[in-house]
Amino acid sequence: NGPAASTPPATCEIPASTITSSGVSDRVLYSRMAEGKSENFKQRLNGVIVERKRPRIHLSDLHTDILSRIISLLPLKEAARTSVLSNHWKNIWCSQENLVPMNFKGFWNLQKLKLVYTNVSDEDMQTLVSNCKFLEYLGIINCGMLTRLRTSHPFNQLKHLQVESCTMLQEIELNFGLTKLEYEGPLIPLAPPGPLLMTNVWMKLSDMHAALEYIFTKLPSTLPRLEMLTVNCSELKRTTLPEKTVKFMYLKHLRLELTFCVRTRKADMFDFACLLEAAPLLETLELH
Amino acid sequence: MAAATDDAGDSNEMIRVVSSDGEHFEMPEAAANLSLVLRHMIEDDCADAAGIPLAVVAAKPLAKIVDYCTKHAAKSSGLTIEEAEELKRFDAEFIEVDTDMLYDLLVAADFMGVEGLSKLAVQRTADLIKGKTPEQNRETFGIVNDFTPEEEEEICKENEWAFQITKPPSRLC
Repeated sequence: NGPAASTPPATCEIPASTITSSGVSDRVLYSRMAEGKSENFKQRLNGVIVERKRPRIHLSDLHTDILSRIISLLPLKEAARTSVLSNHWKNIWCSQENLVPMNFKGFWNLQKLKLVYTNVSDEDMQTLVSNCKFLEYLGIINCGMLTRLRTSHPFNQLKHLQVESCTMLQEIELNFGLTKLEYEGPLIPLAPPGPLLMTNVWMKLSDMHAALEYIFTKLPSTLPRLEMLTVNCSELKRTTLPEKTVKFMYLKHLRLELTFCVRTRKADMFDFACLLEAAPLLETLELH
Repeated sequence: MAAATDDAGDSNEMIRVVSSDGEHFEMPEAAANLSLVLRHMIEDDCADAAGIPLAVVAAKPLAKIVDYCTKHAAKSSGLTIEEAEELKRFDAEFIEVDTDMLYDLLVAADFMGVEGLSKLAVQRTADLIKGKTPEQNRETFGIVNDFTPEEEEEICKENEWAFQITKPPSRLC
């Protein structure tokens, strides 16, 4: 039983050019051709059998999928270390999508996590956040795959959230204990589980809207404890607030970094009079 | 060839395959079915006496793959604990190959769609990479370092956390 013949001649490898039309994928063809270029192969073609000193295999010639699978089985640190092997390996590491390994139990002592230019999916982000129970700071910068961020997880210790330039992000669900939020991007809904204890908010809003109006009408009900607010945005028109708005009862420090898009119009102190009404205990107002 | 070994499949047929270098191999249909490519060929009635040509799999790795599939097909369902243990031992011994063969198996298993073997070979490769310095890995796997020393240092700096070696806690003397 077993194979009909099992002792192949040592030197008769047929080059890839003889491949028949039996459904050979390009990737294998490519690997074989790359292999054909190697020094050892030439030696055999000339009929000289030389004892090999260097390995014939070149792992880098393997299809990206296989290399990616290999890397995903390595512990995170070792996987990252493959990026120094060569340019090809660096690219594989950089395009690695499943950064959260299988059976991920979380980083138990991690307090600060900053992801920059990371292709992390909504699910992986969720797994990360809910498994790092002692995370206090989370920074997410230029993570283009993220569409919805949820930090509202029970037992969550997260206090400081920073989100910047995540172009696909459409909604952030905040967690209860959050005290500081830094956000840069277009105005998107911030869905809190209820009134938050947050005291410090920094926002740079990239789209031109009546951002101040939004902030002062929508946020006081969810951020009643806000003490320090910095807003960097472009304003097209004078801010008007409905008379009976919920107020920022604890707001002490308001810093406005405004750009006016209409050249002919200069900032007028009275533009902000209504903001003072919405924050009766304001101590410092900065205008830039 | 008699079908005496075919105790697994519901068909007694032997499937013939031909390696890129013209060697002929036979295995029970149940074994061939572990390969996605072969299974499709059998379903499409492409398996004839001349054998299915596998143009990119040389005889050496193909012999191994036939071995693997025959073993795994014979013990596919309703394994006892001992049998499962035995299969595990078989796998462990099976994949103890040099890097050349490992490379051939990675390519061939991926090409033929033998998922179990593909996993086994990928895991083995990962195990070989583990615990080695980048220089050792370059040597083992024939990887050419195409970074300038400056670029290499930059990458190490960017991934400092990964290159740090955890030191044992120092003792007070």
